[in-house]
Amino acid sequence: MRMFKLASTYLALILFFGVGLSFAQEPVKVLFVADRQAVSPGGALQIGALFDVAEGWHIYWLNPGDSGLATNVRIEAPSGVTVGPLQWPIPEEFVQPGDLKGYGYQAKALLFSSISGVAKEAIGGKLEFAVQADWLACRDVCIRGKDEGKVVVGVQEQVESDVSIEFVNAAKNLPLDFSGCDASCQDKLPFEFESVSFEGSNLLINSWVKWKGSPMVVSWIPYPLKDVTPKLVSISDNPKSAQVQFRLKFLDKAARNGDFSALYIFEDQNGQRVGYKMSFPLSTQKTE
Amino acid sequence: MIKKSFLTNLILGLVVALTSYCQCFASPGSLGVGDKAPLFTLSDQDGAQVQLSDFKGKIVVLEWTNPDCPFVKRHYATGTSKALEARYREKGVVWLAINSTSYMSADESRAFKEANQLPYKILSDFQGNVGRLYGAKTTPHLFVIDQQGAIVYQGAYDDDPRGENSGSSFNYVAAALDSLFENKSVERAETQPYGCSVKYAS
Repeated sequence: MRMFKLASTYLALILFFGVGLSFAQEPVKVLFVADRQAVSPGGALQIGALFDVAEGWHIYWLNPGDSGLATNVRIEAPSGVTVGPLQWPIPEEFVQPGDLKGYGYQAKALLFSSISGVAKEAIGGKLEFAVQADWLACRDVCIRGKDEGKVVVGVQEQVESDVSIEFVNAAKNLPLDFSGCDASCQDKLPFEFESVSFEGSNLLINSWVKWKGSPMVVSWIPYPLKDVTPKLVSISDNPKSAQVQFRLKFLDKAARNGDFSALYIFEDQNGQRVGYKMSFPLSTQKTE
Repeated sequence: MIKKSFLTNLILGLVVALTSYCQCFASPGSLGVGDKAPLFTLSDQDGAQVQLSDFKGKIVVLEWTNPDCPFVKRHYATGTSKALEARYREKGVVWLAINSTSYMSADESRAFKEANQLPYKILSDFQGNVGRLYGAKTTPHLFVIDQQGAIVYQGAYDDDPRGENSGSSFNYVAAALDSLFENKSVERAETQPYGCSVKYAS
């Protein structure tokens, strides 16, 4: 009995550390998934990569920050079927030693695209999507990873399948594009964007948000823009409003074109977060 | 009676000394292109002392490195660093790698140098003081210092962070060095560095 207890203890330790070590060697596991088992022509379908990140590790958002590498997911669809842009849930911000900022995901993250263009002629058959993913996972060290797989979805005339809960939750965590928010949409928001001002050739942008109700906690994450280095200067808030001030450094004169976008994340007193993508035109601003 | 010229020289000497002292303690991470490269003294992988001032009047390339970083491993596997160093060593450029990885020691730097048969030194900055002073963010992160001691380029090796365009990527470091030898200003003086974060101590 004693030997049995000893043996089972040793086995448990081997399994625990063995599995733990094995997972640490592969800190990220990815599943290629669809939001439903079957699709009808013209119906909704989403395909994506579900990342499971080991504790203490992270993978990166579209803008990885001061270091890192954006996670990459490529979806190849059958002929005639269109893959929409990759959707990125609101990331977390983390600060690494050396005051190095990073943006990304810990635990689980689903990056996915909407699919369209499923033809009536495909009814009764199956659609096969080839998906590839590559990423950089970091903790105290960094490991590059990649994987690929197929997602197969049936095509039926009418579909009543449930949507996967992973996709439902991921959709709730997607940022909203503020430019697409018309007057009726803005009426429903708990805040309003008051104004924006631009200063200097290395643009200093001041933005003000006014609370309609209870104040919220604001965080700011820049979208990537080639040859533009954004730096958050300050977020100052009071019970009635918040000011977000950031500076853009242009590493190449030609970079002063198009729009710069940033994710404004608002967290209420219950810890609920909502993110808005705000865009700021660059080319119309004066240069010194 | 102390001669006026001696006093003048003494005052001038103090001013110069204070200026150098202040360079060493420039505000961390605030360095930009055009700034004087801060002086430092570090030991190499064999414990020999190396001072940046040893290379006064020469073009110096500082390469922040970490043998554990997959981006560094890729550049060494493809020979980016070695090829560049060899090409410009003939023109008198000094190449120094700096390891600011907090959990490493000179032994790991030496092993990496030997495994990759590197002709240049890997300096030990495991406390991260010089890394933070320069604002080194990633491994790799490159700084090119001209003959006058000014930073003329800082940023990435090239425009290919994912390593998908080997052979057709644009090498910013080579372009900066070529500009110096052609007595032209460096066109792309600053780029966003890519790689693993420098593993500074907490």
